[in-house]
Amino acid sequence: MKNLEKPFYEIVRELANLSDFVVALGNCAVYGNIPALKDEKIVELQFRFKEKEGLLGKDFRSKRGLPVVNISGCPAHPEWFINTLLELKHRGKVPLDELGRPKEFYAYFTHDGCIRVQYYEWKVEAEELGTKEGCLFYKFGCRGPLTHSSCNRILWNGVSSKTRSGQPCFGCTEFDFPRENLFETKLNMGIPAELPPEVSLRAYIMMAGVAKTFTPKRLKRKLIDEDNEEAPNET
Amino acid sequence: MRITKKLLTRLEGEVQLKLVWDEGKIKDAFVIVPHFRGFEKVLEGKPYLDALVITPRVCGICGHAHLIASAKAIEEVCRKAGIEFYLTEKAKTFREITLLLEILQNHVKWFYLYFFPDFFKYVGVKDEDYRPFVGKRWSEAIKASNLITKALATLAGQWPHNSYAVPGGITSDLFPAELVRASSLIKEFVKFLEERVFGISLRELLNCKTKRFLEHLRGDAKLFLEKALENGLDRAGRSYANFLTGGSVEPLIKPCVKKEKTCKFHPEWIEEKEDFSYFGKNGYTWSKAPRYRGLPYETGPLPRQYFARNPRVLYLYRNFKDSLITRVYARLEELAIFSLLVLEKVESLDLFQKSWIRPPVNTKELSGRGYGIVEAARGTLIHEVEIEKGVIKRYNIITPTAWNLGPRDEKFLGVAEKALIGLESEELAYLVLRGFDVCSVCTAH
Repeated sequence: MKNLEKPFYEIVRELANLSDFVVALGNCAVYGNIPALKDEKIVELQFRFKEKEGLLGKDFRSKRGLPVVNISGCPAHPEWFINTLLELKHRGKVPLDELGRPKEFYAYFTHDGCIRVQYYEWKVEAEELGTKEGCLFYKFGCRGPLTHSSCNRILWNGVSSKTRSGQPCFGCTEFDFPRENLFETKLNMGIPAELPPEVSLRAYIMMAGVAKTFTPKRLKRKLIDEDNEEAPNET
Repeated sequence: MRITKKLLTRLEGEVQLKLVWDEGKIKDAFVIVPHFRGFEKVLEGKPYLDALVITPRVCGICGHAHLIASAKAIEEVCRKAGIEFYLTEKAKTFREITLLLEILQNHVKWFYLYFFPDFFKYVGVKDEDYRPFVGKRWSEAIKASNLITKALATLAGQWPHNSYAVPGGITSDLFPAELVRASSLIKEFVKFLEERVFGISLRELLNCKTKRFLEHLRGDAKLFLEKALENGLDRAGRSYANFLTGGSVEPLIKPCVKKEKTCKFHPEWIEEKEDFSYFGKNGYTWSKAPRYRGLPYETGPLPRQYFARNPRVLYLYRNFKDSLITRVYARLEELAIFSLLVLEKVESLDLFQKSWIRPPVNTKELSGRGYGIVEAARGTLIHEVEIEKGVIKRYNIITPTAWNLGPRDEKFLGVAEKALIGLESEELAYLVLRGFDVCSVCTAH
């Protein structure tokens, strides 16, 4: 930040050393995200992307003994943020994953709680956008099964989420957001090039084979068949 | 000669205001945006659809306007490349609705959370109900704006930062029951406006075509107008009164530029001057200075309502020109006008139309240039994209706040800077600046 009396990073360092807890909110503050993409000088509180090369150093601990608590996401979900703050206040600690994120919110995947999960299980691909049916993982680049978040468990604005409204998950809670070609799934011989963590290619192929062979027919139909909608009585 | 500097907070980002004083009056003013992130550079070399995810991140308040601008810019490239495709009425109307909803949540937050606290301080009113964080009215305003963001998320998945508008339509496919829920959330918001902001029914307000609206008004709008007049805000904050609206809000507002003979807007006539931005040699801010045929222009609710011939805003404008009172009231009026408009649009939706029709385009082959222009909360937002073989070659964003809060050029002060000249108090200067609905992350993206 230009033009301030004291450099911004100095202010942050001073405050961090006085603080019981240090919480980074949002992907920019957590990993660098968009501003760091074209500027090598930009580092965040404890990380730069996934490396612990941040402003406060890799061994930083706040006065109450925790590293920087990272609430990632672009944007970060307000409820994950507020509940983490409250938990820190009342319990004084919170379990974190290897990227400093509270496990309670980031141990889950965006996929967990997605209302398209049956389509995923039975490998029914969405052929088009703008429909309620089909899974977006196979063609439209959805990162749901690969992205740590509680987006479909603690809904956005209390009502919905990206995948619930037909958008692929773009992986905005991860260090590599924004990746390239966000609306397209990269395929290797027809199989998604990236599989969910700890799923082997062999397991995936076997499961997919079974699923595709035995897909329940109802998953190939529209949820609501418009033609069958009862026409109102004309008066 | 004295120079003061102060950091303006309680907004998206930070803005520094540097004032040069001479004999108790502001002689020169510099609006300084100290942050820069480089979104346009990040977009270069990316597949063009990625813009739909990246540009909304420019701003946490008007990101949805950035999304729609990106989608429109890409669609114009397709159209110019001779690719035949169309949007269903449903998809078009959805986009209009969600854009308007974003404006509504912004205006109500701006008024109660950002403007009112400073306004009360300036006019010397102490009212616990309006106190930030603890006041009853303050938290009611947050709840009201949450009604709107809930409605927006019902339609578009989440707010902020969804990417539900894609070339060819939208991704969401609502059940009628979901639309009914969105509609009742908006109706609850209308109730808030009628009870708290205007004190009369919105229809009644919009039916007032003369200055009689001043007698009919109640609520916080009335409180604002009264106190503003008592404290001389009808004379403060006047700028060039050059108005520009580049986008449209169907069917009320069409593109128009005040100093031009015909109501046509040509984005290619805009020049972004860099001399006084950090990109140039005498820089003091990260914002550029957009000029339309060489002139500075104000954009936003006041220009929109001026061009829409809103009789109440025109009454204030005739009497008080583009002063703070007119600028603020125009923004309040949009709460009333746009809430009713959005309800009409919701009623008109036919959910059984298609949400998305795949444009017949090879995403690896598309080349060309296009503009996407929308009316955002703070005014006209312009995206310009140049695509070569499916990859973004150049991306340029001209935000409403760059028009309003951008720097000077060799001939003209910036619009907000001009509005500050001659003021006699620092508090008033901040208030006038607030009147433009300051957002630094858009001003310098």
